[in-house]
Amino acid sequence: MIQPAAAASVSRFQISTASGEPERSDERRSIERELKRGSLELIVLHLLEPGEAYGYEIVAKLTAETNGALEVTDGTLYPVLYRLERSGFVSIRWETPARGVPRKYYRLTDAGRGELARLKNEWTRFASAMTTMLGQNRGTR
Amino acid sequence: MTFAPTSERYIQLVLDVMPRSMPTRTEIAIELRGHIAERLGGGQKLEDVLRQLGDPVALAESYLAAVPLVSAPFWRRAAAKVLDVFPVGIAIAPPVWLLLRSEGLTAVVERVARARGVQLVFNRSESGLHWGDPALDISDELVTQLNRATSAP
Repeated sequence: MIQPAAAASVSRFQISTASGEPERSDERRSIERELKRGSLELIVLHLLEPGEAYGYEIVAKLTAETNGALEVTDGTLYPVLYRLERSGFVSIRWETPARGVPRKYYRLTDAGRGELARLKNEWTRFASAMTTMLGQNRGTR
Repeated sequence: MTFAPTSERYIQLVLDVMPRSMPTRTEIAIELRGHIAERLGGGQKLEDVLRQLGDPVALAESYLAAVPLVSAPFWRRAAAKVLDVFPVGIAIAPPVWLLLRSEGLTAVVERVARARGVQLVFNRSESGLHWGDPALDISDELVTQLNRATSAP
């Protein structure tokens, strides 16, 4: 279930702030953060589409599927799961393995599937509009 | 971050930010505890695991922000309103009850006035009266009677 390679690559996350980089990089980072925040629900709903999974599994899956490129931290992911639960997009189930700590399993509800389809559609439209616009700009520059 | 790096201390810092009335508080703690255990089981250092979770206060705040602001159905809101008013009702019920079952102010004034053969009774401070013979003042008597009327069954 948990790929050791994925677990290893996760640890390259860093809280780097005071590295003396110019302000521009902070700005870029904040745009990236906004984009990420808007798409987090879509990411999690998508990861849950094949079937139920518990928190850590989802984190590991995300790292594995994107090769760590999205750099979503554990601390951002769990509240998203919580929000999806509160909104009724996922249902939950607790299970305690024979040896180990209890796991909270998440599964898409019908409303969750609807939301996933809606967000996916929205994302695709946004992305293609951006691509078209940026492509046109290149010609006129 | 100024916490001693133990997972329990970290979880406690997260919980500290959440109100005790939050029903999902315990669940969140169990899930975080499980997450930390899984990561540690995967051979990661506690310090790294906690760094991935980020500042405990920030984490708690994003949990709190995740509560959707959808208004409750009508009957639930109505029930909540009734419950809100309930303690006030309990607090003011005894004096109101006493007042209702006792003589009101007007009735006391009337009784005292008739007993003394007085035809008009003024409220001195509200009547525009500049001077009056203190002997005509029946305030003390009214207060005594009113107290008797409201306290005695």
